[in-house]
Amino acid sequence: MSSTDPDALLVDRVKRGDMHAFEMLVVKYQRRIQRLVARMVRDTEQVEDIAQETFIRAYRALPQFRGESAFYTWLYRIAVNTAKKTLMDMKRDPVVTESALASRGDSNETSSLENELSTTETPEAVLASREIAQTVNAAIEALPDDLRQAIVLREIEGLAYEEIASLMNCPIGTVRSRIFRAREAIAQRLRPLLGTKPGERW
Amino acid sequence: MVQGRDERVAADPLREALSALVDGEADAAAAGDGVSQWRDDEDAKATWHAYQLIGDVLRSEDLAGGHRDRVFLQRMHARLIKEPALLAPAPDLPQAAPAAHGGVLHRWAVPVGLAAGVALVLGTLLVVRQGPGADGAVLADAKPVLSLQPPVELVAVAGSSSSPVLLRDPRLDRYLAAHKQFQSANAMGPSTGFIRSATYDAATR
Repeated sequence: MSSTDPDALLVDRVKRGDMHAFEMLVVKYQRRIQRLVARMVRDTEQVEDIAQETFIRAYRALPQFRGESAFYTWLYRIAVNTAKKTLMDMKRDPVVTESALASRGDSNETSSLENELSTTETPEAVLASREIAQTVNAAIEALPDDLRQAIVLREIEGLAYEEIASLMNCPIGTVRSRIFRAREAIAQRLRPLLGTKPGERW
Repeated sequence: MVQGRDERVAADPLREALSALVDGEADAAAAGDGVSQWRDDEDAKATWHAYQLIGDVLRSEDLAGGHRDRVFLQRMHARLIKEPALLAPAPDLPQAAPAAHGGVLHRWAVPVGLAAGVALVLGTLLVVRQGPGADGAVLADAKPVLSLQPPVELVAVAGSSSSPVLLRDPRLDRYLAAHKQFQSANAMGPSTGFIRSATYDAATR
């Protein structure tokens, strides 16, 4: 299974009671899940709540996950179901529906712009995201060709190390090393942008 | 020109192992080491996050956020620690066979609060439903059911130094002994057949 689903190792550990392994999967997928939910749910304050609910449901249901699909496929389905359930519950609640309708119906230009941006997408956050994207792109371009090729084949083409080794005509150990060095070179530029403020910790 | 910038990346076997874990290209032992590293080291947490964010951004720039990721994880952590532990057999726990050991296992009364906590775990395990189709496409809320009457005399089974103490109800032990698949070191966790056959009858829904 580990050759097909990169998450299999961590999922196995979660099944044996390792909560930290699950947290590592949360860090991996939280952005994708929130983006997915944000496409379905207009109320941006609920996006994070629904994403959190998705992960809790996945955690509880993990004993029954048998790896017949990739972990992320399974998680994706849970996210969609959780968002749908929230939407259905909202429709049944007349108070919620009224206030949601009120904000959507407002034709004032300022507030419609506020509706476009989520509560997390303040102008500062938008600029910071742009800076992160630019930093990653610049770092990728600055990489030596072999490192860039390795990380692109892995992250964008989704190839396994063995396949990359075959394509790049080098040992698997070299693939592992190149991908690591590419990541570290990019991460070195990113760390100041993502840096923890004093007193802040994971 | 920043050619050769990668020369400044010092050899770091721990971080390289973490990088391999990002790709699932490690063995189970290395995965365990990676999780321990993540758990114990703030820098490792930041590195794991950075490596994952890099992948997301390469695939799509509108995932370039990451500012509230730390907050998100802290909230998840607060919720996860309240969840009952996932009840999957760990290979390094000694087999609980009360009859065979003839009095070696120590029994002592457990406070009602803890007994209720264990009841909650058992109830959660026994009422989780398997929906139609594979892999929980239809999920039921796992409503906890208090299936034990307090006070319950619980047996504490001492785990190895790396695993937590597992509390067991003697009635559960007898039930589990009758269902061998739970006792075996099954890396995939309890079979769904066990869960389905335990106390839940789909026909009575």
